[in-house]
Amino acid sequence: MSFLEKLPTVGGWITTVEPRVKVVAIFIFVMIATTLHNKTILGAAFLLLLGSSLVVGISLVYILKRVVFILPFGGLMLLLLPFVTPGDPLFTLHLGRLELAATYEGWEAALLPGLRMITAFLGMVLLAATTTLPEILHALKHLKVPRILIVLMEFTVRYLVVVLDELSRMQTAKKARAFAAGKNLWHWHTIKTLGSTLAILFLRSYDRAERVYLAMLARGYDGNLPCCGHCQNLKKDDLCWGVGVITMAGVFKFFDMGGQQWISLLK
Amino acid sequence: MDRGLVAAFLFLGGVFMHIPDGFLEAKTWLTTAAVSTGILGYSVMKTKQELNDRQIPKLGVMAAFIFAAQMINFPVVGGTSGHLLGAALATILLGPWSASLVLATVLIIQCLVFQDGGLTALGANILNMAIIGTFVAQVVYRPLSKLLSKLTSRKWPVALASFIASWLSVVVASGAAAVELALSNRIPLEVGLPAMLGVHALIGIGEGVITAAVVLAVWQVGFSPSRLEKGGAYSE
Repeated sequence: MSFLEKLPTVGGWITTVEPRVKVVAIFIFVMIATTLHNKTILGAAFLLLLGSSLVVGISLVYILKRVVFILPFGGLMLLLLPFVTPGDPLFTLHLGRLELAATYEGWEAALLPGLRMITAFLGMVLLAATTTLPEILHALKHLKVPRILIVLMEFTVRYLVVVLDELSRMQTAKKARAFAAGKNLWHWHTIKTLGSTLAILFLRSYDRAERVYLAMLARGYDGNLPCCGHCQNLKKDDLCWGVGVITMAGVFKFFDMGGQQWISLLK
Repeated sequence: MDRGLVAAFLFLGGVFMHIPDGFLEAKTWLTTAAVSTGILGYSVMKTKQELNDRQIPKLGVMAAFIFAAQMINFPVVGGTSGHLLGAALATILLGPWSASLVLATVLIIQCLVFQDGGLTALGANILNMAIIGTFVAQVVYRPLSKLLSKLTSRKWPVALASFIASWLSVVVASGAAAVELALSNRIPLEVGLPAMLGVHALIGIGEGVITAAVVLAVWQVGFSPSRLEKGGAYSE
């Protein structure tokens, strides 16, 4: 599980930026990017993020692998929008008897969320590739996210490895007993086997949870996890970087709201 | 009518309700984020009442289980496969308050680590799956399993009630996603709602069958969720 590793996906200076600064700056950038309306400016924000991603060493392959996760919903929505928005026909698809008309307005309507989606997505990739999950969680803890959620996430991440190991051992055991999954949902044997696999996984996880909890109690756990203690100081360079990112987002938003006209008014 | 058909056709490829960034307008995602935060806060309070504050490690392991359960593919039809959402499964096994916390945890990690579901859409995704999904499952499962168990033997009421509860939780959650998209003026409700409901009525069958199989298997071992509650065998 690469996302649990101690080291982020890429190296370099950006990984040393204080996670708190990175989280706040990139969250604000992403939120502002999803409110932009001007497609040119969105394109510029997209290119800026893509450029900086490549510069810090995130490979295109890594980005493309991540795109797979947003395709089921995002890709299909984008395919769908041109056909369901009424307006002037752009082109027509003939699928047997079915005639599908894509409209110009529909295409316009799909382009905007599409650009917003990919821009915000790149921002999140930039964060995820240069920061490990424990770092993000640690940052969120300092940003006053409720402790219970943070602790919950920390435990989830820790035990995910254990549970997945358990699962893969069970899959091996199934294979060793010549289990082959059927092709349909009404293949009763497959469903029964999957059902009992998950049931046993649940019971074992549950038992493990009990043991973990009791073991932690024995070691003096009282609901609080101590912090590392050396994370109070923010470096100036890091703060400058964060302010730079947020300013950049602000500049995009300024021009998006018609800022260039205000500048010409001042002249 | 044609448009509805097209919508259903395109959605069939594989739809999950993880809304990415960019599809929701600021007013929609701010509202859903506020609502989700409020309800999650209430869930935290209720969980503390039902469980002990110190038992959070247990919920963490359960969240890891739901995470792993979502990774298991099951065959749907003709070689295609789907995977669990797990809202109903978590609700039936852990109770609604813990389930909503567990699912929210899973969704946040998916958003931060895999970019599966957008940051601005996180509130909406949590509302749909972790809150509405679990709520529907809870409202349907308990009374239904009680009612059915009066009619027949012990085994089938549980299976049937879990099937209906998880099918409904998926369908209603997808309807909520369609409403959010319509509120953002992305896709009109009269197109989006039937498409989302139609496709998830099919996807929900898979969810329902697998959930029923799991709950049945857990039930036959003699596990009862009451063990999780305060005063249960392991509460201290």
